[in-house]
Amino acid sequence: MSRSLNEVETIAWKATRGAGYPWGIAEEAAAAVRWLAGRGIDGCPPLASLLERTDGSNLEDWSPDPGEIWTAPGGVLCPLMAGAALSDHARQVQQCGLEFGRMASPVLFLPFVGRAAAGIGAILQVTWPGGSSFTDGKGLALPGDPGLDFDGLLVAVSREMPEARPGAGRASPDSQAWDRLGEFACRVHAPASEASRRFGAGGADGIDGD
Amino acid sequence: MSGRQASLRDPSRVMRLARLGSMHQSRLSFMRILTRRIARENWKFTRTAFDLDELGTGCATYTVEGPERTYSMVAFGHDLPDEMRSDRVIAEAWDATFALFDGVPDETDVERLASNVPLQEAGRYSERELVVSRANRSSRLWEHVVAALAAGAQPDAEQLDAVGYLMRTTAVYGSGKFGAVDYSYIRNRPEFATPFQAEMLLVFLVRAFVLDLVEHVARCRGGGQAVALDRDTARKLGIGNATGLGMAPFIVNHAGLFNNWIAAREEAIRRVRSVPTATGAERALFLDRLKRSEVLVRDWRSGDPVQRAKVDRLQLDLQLIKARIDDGPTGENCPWDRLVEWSEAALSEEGQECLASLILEPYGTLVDELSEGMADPDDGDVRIDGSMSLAETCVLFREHYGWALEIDWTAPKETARAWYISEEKLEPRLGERHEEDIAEFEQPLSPGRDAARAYADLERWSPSESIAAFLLKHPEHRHVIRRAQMCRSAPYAEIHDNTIGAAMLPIDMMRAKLSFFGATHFDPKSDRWVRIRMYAGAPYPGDLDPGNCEDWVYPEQVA
Repeated sequence: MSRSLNEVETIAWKATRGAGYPWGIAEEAAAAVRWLAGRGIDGCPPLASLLERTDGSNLEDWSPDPGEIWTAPGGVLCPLMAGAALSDHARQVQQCGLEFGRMASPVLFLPFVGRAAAGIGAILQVTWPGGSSFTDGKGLALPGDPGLDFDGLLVAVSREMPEARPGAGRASPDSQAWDRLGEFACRVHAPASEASRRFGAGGADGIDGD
Repeated sequence: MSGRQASLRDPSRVMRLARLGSMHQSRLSFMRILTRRIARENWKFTRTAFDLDELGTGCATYTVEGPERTYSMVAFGHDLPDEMRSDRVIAEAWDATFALFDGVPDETDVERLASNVPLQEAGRYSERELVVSRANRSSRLWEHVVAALAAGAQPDAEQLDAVGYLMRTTAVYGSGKFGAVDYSYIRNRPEFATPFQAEMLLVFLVRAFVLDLVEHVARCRGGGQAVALDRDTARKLGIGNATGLGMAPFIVNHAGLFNNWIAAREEAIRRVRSVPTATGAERALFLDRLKRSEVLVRDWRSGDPVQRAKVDRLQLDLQLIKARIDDGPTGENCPWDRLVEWSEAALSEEGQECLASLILEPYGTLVDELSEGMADPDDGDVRIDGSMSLAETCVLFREHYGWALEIDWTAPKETARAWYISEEKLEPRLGERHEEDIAEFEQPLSPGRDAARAYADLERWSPSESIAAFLLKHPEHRHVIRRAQMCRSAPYAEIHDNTIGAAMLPIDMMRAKLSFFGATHFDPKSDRWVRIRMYAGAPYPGDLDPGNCEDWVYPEQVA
């Protein structure tokens, strides 16, 4: 089904929050999935798979510990937590590059590289075993599908920017992934209760009197 | 030119809920920006199809030709039983449903729209649809007008004035909702560079359709003896809108965008306050709009005691402004600045904001261009600057959230409410935090409390650390750190009041947003829903011209 970028962004926002992430990270996830959609990449399957993996676990286990190589205490990095850290440490990337350990759903990391690139006004290259991508913040050059897990990756400034993927104004998310995200998104909705009805939570209960 | 530059009003003054809940339309309201453009560019309107039966069931199409593009409204009329007519956003059937289409629809498009638009939220839309909306008849007025016109008479003016519209919309959906086109896709078109222009265009067309429809139904009923609605009467009629809680969180969720609206109006006020001398013509125009505002306000009815008291006081305030002008401050020595300064002590907030909007009226050449900065080019997506030190961050918090740091957030009344989305309605709700199990579903709509929480943690860290290091350990504060950093370039982004306190009135947030749409006649039906009028007094599509596109908000004075 053809969807607007706004719809994709909204479901990612709600689903990420529904899976237990803080609102600020849910905002990053929403922007990331929208950024990918605008470059013709469906971020819904990697996000659904990530949320299923991290669901119910301690986020700290998936969050990066700064070091020579930024790794997760639990062994696998969450691309949202690692991506947010990368974006926040963009200046450090400019100086010496940053190396990250094993990462889940790594395609979700790329929009954060884009954010960092835009923030410092540089082209950034991400290199992993078997492939690489480039972004100047606007465009994304990504040959092939990066797959589900990277064993590690390096983000560094690049001098070249290969031809970027064509932009897209609509998204066609995988329907199964969409439904899985929908289930996470439902968790942010409060079940109706007698109390909420009694307190008149919504207000506009007016039947047309005139 | 004396060169005196007035200052911008401080956010701590402007961004209080009570003041936001007293805002008025101005030259920078979205309806007026649109009618100005339509008149300037001489857009052509055509009713290209009107295939409705005697009950008003069927389909109609109206096209609008601008300088570069054509848009169409496709309208569907339905025969809705009285008991199904509801203002609630969650209703499932309406008297009429609408879509604004990009271009001119062919038969296939109309068929597709016919099987989706009447379903509203349950339908699917494509990148050809810009806006989707629906409206219900005012049952009180509709039947009276149809019966009168069918019998060859004009409807009773008092009844028309009391309601003010024949139909009211209960939702106007744009920006990619339910699959419709994203705003980012159309924002580069000059006609949509200002926010909500597509939505305002649809409502403008809905108003034309409603007039056509009521006369059509009257003609079907009355045959040869039926008459058309008197054009002056028709012009007074607007489109109603019933707005519930759904709109209130918008200005918090889109803080960067809301900043740009407020900032545009505040800059306009500043520019006019800096005008060294007012000419006779400028003073005359101001006085004209002031006097016509009295008529507008006299017509503003509300059953809500708080709003009624505010309207009564506003009537007095308008008299006070007139007396002040008559008493003589001349057109010299920054007259508008002196007038605004005087108003801060002499008038209610309702009166102060009405005056602040009114002084812009004579100065289109100074202020109208500010409409170009009212969109949000970042679409709310702001990158956190991780290199900022915690010392700087704390300064930022004290500057923009000082008011929140003084609140005792452990007091139950300060956190009495929680915003959430209900599973049942999928609409924003406001609950009683200490009496319902809703806290875990709370939406991020309390920047003040969140800022106070973040600040408490920030103070425990070394000031020389970076925000990047802080956020590695405190991702729960990421949301409000982003907002705080946004305030650096968007000082009017945050409401400087508690949005979850027991005393908070959601209608204040709705009023602020609706005033920027250009709404008038705010009529709260409780603390959480409000009825308004849109386009009341406006010329109908074919009648708009540069001479009447600006002052239609203000009713002509009755002798």
